[in-house]
Amino acid sequence: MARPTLLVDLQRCIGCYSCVVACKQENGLPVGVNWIKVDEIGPFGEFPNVKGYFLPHGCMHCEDPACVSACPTGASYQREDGIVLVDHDRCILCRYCTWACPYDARSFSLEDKMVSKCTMCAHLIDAGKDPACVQHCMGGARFFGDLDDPNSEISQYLAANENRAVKLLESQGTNPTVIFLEPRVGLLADEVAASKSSARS
Amino acid sequence: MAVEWSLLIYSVLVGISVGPFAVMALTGCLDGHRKLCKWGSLVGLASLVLGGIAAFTHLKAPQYVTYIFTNLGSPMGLEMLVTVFTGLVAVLFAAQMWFDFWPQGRRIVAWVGLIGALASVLLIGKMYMLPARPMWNTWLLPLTFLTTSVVSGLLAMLVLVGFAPLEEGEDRSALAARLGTWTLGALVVNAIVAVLYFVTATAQGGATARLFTGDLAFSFWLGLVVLGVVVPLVLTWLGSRPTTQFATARSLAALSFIAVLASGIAVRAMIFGLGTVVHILAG
Repeated sequence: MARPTLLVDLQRCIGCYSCVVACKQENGLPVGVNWIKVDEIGPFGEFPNVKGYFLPHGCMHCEDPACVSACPTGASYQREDGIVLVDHDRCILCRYCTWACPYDARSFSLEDKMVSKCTMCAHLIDAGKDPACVQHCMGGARFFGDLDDPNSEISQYLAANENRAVKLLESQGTNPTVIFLEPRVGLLADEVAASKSSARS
Repeated sequence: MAVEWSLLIYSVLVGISVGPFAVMALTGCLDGHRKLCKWGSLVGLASLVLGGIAAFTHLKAPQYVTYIFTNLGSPMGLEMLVTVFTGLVAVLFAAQMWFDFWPQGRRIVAWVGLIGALASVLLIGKMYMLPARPMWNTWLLPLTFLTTSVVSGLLAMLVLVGFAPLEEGEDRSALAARLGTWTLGALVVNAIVAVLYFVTATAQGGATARLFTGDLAFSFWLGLVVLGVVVPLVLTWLGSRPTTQFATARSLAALSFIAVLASGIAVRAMIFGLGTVVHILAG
């Protein structure tokens, strides 16, 4: 069984929001609903040596997704290949999944009567294509492929940059599958230390 | 996060149902205070039905609600199932009281209703225990739901003891005194549990300042401390003194109940305010 995985190299991300736009266009998302959010992290350091980076994030398609175990109707489910999806014909719109997701990855639109999230463009993957965000990433920061295939581009890119690979909020125990490559080794670890006490609503 | 008012009202109303079942299961009022128990069964039923309606309005696509049977391991699915079960028990109990249906089983049904109501309240609170929301992820949260529910339920019954129609020659002062003592005890326990929850949760989340002097301060000091602890404690104590006249005592109980209801709303609104997710870079 293939293991479709998304990898984002933060060193290459230029914060152009192409992924956000491509995602909205491909999936026909209404105004106010974004499956990819881009956080601007930083700036760090002191002038003139100031740095920052962009952190585009969405559903982490966790191996043990909190949204799936929380969903009272089974509307949130995991495909055999690990992609986490929502069956809108079972969803009662209780929004409990939006509380359970540690990544704040789910969007609720009352107007469209829908809780939705990144599908990893499963419809494109099933047709043998890459997700829209990967296809349209201007900086070439996004990689998609089968991590179980050692010859895939994503496997080889990850192997070459293993020292920069991190996953977000692993302490939550959901085993996220999306991999991020730090802009420099240890930067996210520094950020973790700096943001331990901060929280966002 | 924003307050979900329908869920808030739901938990307050379901909490009230604890009172009638507790009084009717734990005291001898089923034998000696028939009219009171008839009205008590209606209070229990009405609070569960109205609470259920409030919860139903939270669902924006309720037509798929039967699918909850497919994932009963979900905290919300289990909670919905137990509350619906308790509602059915309340229907049965009201039928027993008003239509003399299966009178010998009243005590048993009252006990089942009490267990169901307590379980519902605990499960409603447990639903919020999510690792993604660190300030909710403690057993003190469902315990806070439980203690506030017990207090509001007992006070609802204390008001009913004062205002429900009397039978000929009936004296409810002994029952009122007993309920007053229980309520005082429940108020003290509730004060300890609720304050402990808010103080420890905000301390753990680095949000203590929000509670004491920040955006939650008004709800904490006025909603929890004054309306949830000081006012009902003083009024219930005054009402339960032997020298207090029955008419005065029932007015004090009514005021106390209103204060506790307002506090229950404030407490739950504060809980929603604490439903923040961890920072995405927090490790």
